[in-house]
Amino acid sequence: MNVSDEVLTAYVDGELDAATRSELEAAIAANVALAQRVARHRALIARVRGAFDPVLREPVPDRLLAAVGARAPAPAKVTDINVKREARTARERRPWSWPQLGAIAASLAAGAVIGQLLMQRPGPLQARDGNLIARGELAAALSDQLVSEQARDAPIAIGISFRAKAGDYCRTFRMRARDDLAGLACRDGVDWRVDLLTRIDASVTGGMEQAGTAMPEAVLRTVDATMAGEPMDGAAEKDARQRSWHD
Amino acid sequence: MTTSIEALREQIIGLLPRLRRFARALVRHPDDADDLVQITIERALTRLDQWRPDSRLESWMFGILRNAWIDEVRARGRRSRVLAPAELGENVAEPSSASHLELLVIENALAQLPEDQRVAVALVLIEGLSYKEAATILEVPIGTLTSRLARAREALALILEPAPGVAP
Repeated sequence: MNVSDEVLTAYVDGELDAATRSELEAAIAANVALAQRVARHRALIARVRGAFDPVLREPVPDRLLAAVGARAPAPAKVTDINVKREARTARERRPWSWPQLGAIAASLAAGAVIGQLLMQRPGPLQARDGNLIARGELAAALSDQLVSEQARDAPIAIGISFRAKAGDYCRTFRMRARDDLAGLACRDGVDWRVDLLTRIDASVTGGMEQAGTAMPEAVLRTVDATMAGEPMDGAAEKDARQRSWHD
Repeated sequence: MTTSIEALREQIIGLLPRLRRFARALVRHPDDADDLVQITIERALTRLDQWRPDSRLESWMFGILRNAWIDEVRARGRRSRVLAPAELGENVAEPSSASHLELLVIENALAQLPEDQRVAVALVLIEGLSYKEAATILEVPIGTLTSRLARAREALALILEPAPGVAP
């Protein structure tokens, strides 16, 4: 199937109609080169958009709230707090309209591997609605494996677990048997949505190979941008697992 | 329409975080970006009668902000002062974290795009507007928008993706 860049970008931008989209998704699942191209487009969008996420979380300056002039100036302080809180909750309530921006391949090499993994049945990854969903051994490790109890040579190693600023649970992982991919997955309903996947370059990790859970820069950067507070400790992990990683 | 001014003000407050993000994608200095948002709010409030409730308030306000930005750029007689390459990095606080550094990297990349491509990226890739909404705001045909986006993606990929074989 020969697919133009125009169609692929329309796909990642969420602009294809349902029929064309599912046709294209079938083609992507069967074609590594195509999956690579999609992954590259996604990675670019995710990176550009992700960089601006912190701006959304900044408090809105008072002068802008004042410019909207929603309230009489009488009890200045209290009003400001209320207005700010309203701005905040309005933001949290708004359903996110971004068109299914899902999995990220942090490098071209990772894009190629993801393409291959998507073709495996059953494999550790599945594409759905523009997202990558963990399946099989990967999903099982994300749901069940505790950092404190995992075997040193476990085929999938969990790095850290943490709460994202959005409230959901996320975990970093490494798949040793799979071209040594590392990534970040976040709980999404009953699934683990893979938000980032990158290939570990042995020449870069060098001596850290033995550590087993050393994470590449791309993952750390995303964790830094996503995490609320500190990584979870063993007890918190155990507790979260008991609740199936839900509140 | 029954939409009261008060209700619209509430909606505008809800939009402020996204208006600030949109402005930051166009103008790198945070204070300048907030100036742009403030101008947008002021213009919107004096022209509320021009807003047609059949269009989304956010689209309408993004359009006002984009026009305010163009006015600003033109008023300065050259590409916005705050975007001049010589001043890149000036007036910008020291990166305080990896995510802040990443923002600077991306802002720097966006600043290298022509204005029409930068707005297209901000509206579609960052704000997640549909092609149709973005084309309406920019008053161009959808084909023009998508070709701007295509050129922008190509340029950004060149700027941001290290050439194969080069260590990250």
